[in-house]
Amino acid sequence: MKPITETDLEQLSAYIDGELSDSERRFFQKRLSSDVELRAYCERVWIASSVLKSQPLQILPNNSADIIGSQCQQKRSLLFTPMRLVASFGALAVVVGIGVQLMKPTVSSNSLAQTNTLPEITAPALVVQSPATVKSTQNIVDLNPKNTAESADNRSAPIVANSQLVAQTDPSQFELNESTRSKSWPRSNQGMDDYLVRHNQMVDANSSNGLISYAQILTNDQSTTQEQGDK
Amino acid sequence: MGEQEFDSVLVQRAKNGDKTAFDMLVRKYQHRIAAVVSRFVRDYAECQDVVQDSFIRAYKSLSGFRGDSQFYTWMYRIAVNTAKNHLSSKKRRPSFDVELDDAENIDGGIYIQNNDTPEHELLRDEIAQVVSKALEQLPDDIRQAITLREMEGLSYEEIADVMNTPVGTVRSRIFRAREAIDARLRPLYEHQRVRP
Repeated sequence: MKPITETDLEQLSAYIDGELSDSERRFFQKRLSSDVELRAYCERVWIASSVLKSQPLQILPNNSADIIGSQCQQKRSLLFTPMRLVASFGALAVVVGIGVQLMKPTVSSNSLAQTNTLPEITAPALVVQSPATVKSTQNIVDLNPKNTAESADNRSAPIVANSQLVAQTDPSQFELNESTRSKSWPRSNQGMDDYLVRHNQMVDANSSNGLISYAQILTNDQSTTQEQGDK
Repeated sequence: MGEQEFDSVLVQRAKNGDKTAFDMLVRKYQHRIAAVVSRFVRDYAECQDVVQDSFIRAYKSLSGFRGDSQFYTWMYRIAVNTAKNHLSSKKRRPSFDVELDDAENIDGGIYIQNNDTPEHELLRDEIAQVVSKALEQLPDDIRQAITLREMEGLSYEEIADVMNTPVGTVRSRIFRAREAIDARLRPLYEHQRVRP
């Protein structure tokens, strides 16, 4: 413990009057917390202050504050020991709970993958459309090139591959329908034609809102023109 | 910073677990709280126990102290209730009642205590005499500074205005006054202190 200097006592005097700057006060509080003598001096200053203010006093032994302090600490530790235990168990329970919650999706997705209950996420699957649906949406066809020939022959049960999900969000990934491409288009720009066909197929595949597709319009226009020409 | 703000800072620090801050509050108010308790409890040892219980209760419920009232007023109420509970547990009635609202109105100085042992009364008288004598013997400018501070409750800046001196000089003068008083008070407090 550092010896108490006159500067310390002057600072203490200003401290108990609340006249130290913030930085001085913080520094002095540290000094006070480690110096019992300084705190005892502080107590005597308050006694003198009370006498000067004619406040009622009952002088207690000068170790009274220390006794009270130690008793408070005992009470605190008695109070906090069971509370710490409860808090520890609580924290453990929360951690375990969070762990279980985090584990749950992993376990269920694995089991679901095995049972194929979530086919659109875990494994490629086939969506079989009814013939009625196919009739109403003439342009919905099998987008898997492997199945192209089969789908051309068997239009009553077109099969849409799961890759369509990807194509729905990215037109460049959308597989071109060869049967549509083979039609003659009034445009000479093949790249643009391909894009329009892809776009058309995407719109057609994504919605069954009954609107006539761009490809149909073009095709109809072409055929009408040809018919008119023939006539 | 006034006395109330100073107490608020200590209370806040004590709430945050600073033991020193609560120790400072105990050192500051224990003798005044003891004076309140001694109005109910005549026996000095019992009075001391009740004071200790009061501070322990205050410490335990410090988190509930919102600072709406002064710390001393709050402490005073705890002490009065603890003293009354102490008497009722012993199936005794207080020698005379003190209203809870009296916290700020107790006056009459240290001489108000007439229910104590002659030894304690003598000590209080001695302390009062020593402080008064030390104050009388101070140089005029120093005595004026400490009087304005302790009795009038002025801040250092206000005292500097009144005395037409720099704040640093005021700070130094107040310290000199306290040092002179403490030089006389210390032996009395340390060697002739009341033993439980």
